[in-house]
Amino acid sequence: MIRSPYRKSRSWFRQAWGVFWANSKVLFSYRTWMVTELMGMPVSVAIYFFTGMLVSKPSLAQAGYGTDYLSFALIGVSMTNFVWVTIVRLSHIIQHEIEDGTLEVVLSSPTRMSAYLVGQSFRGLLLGGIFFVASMLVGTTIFETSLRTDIFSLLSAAALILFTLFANLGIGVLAAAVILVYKKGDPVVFIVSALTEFLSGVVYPLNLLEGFPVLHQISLVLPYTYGLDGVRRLLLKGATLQTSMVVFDFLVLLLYVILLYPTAFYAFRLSFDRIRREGTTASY
Amino acid sequence: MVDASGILEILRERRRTGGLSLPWKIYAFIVRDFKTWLTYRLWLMLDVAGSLFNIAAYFFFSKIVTEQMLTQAGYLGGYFSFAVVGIAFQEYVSFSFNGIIRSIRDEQVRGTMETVLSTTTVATFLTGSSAFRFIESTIFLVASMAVGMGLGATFTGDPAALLSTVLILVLLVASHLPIGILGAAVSMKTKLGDPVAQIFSWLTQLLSGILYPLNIIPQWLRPFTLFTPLTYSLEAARRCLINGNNLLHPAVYSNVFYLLLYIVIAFPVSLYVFKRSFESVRKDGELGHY
Repeated sequence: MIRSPYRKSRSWFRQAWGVFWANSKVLFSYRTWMVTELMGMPVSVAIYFFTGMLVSKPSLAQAGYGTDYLSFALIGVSMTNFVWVTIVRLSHIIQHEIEDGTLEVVLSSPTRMSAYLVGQSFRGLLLGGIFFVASMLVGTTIFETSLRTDIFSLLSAAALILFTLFANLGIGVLAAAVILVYKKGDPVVFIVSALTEFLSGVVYPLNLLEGFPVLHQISLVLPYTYGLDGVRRLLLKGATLQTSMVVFDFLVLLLYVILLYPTAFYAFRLSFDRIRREGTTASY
Repeated sequence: MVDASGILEILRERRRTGGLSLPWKIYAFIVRDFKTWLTYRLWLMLDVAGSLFNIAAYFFFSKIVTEQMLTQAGYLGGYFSFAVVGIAFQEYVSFSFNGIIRSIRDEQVRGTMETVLSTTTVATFLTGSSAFRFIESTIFLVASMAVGMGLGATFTGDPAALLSTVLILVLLVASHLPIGILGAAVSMKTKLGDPVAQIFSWLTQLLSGILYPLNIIPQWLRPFTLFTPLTYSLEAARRCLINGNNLLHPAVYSNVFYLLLYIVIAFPVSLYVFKRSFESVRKDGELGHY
């Protein structure tokens, strides 16, 4: 079996696809876990449904996102889970390879590191996507949220969600770079995700932070704030990709891509070269 | 070069291995878990920070809440005080009953289950491995309440109400231990994570009134709220901490009575199931498997 000749693909796309496909097979072998998680989805949405019954509609309307708190929270919570499941995947997989002692094998295989990382990210994207779609379906069908479900709004929202994910993925690359060298957990992702969940307006509208200038300023620095705001405008207020505020959100995210990506990949390259030079790819 | 004589010397050393009293054994477990805890300081701090952020998020959320439903449900304080008690107690429950399941699962995955159980009894192992988590949870509960108070939540300072809350906390832990024991029994037999804990966690979050008063949920769902012990614990604790009532108040002692009833019924059942599961796994020689 070892001697049998088989085609080793040199194509970057085939390598990335191979990594994605192999990991997806592993993912779908955890059927019980996935079914249990999906079964818990209506419960999670129901909790926000009941919590939303306490919300004062005029107060929510003042924030500019309509009067339906369940729709507001559903977008916030589901999108946050989707984005962070995908981002965390990168740092988690590097951590796993280090702990299992398989990082050296991965690095010495013909698969290019960039193809490996992209393949792993797509696996995170698939898992996050399944949960995101499931929670939105539960919200719109069982709890009758007031989300816009016309094809144009949905496609626009999908585009903005993916771009938000792309803009934030640099954080995952940075975290992976830290783990490569220090071999320890991923505090970078944890801190950014905790700050994001707290300060990007996931469960409450951001106008409430205006009385707290420091927190408000931090919230404006987080790229996720803009992605979430744009998606809410598209799905709650019927804005389009041409609406000035949505364009503004897109441009801010683009700025993050321009700033964050070269820095993140440079840091990753430095870490990668360092562990190879020091011969610490197999240690942890 | 390994110094074999040194190792032999240690092995020959006469040490007391038996006859330790239960409190000393539990103390040993606490010291072991504390030392492990110290090696994960950063992660624990981040975990605590994450949970405290959660409380802060509900501080902002409370700004858009109307308090009419809370008043109708008989709670005098604002929504934030209501939510802080709910969040702090929920985390406490989660730590408490997940503790036993995780202890069993960790030993199974590490392959050390047989070693541990051949040196101590199951009861000592379960009590000892939960003890540190209990201390950790208590610190977390106090920290959450302190952060809540710092952000404006108001709780009573009446000694009778506070003492009643301590008793309710003890009953809260005692009422959740049977669920942890049941989960551990299932986990030991099936070698799967913790499906019992997962399902119980959903029901608790939905039906115990952690973030909303239970007069909000539809009539048909209300009977189900009676099956989760957190419902009684939260109701009694909020009456004490927010309204300033104590054990002599009907709204408090009726909930305490239901908690006691729950404990009296659930404990023997869960211990019986655990014993059956343990005997079955031991007979099959699968204690060390996972």
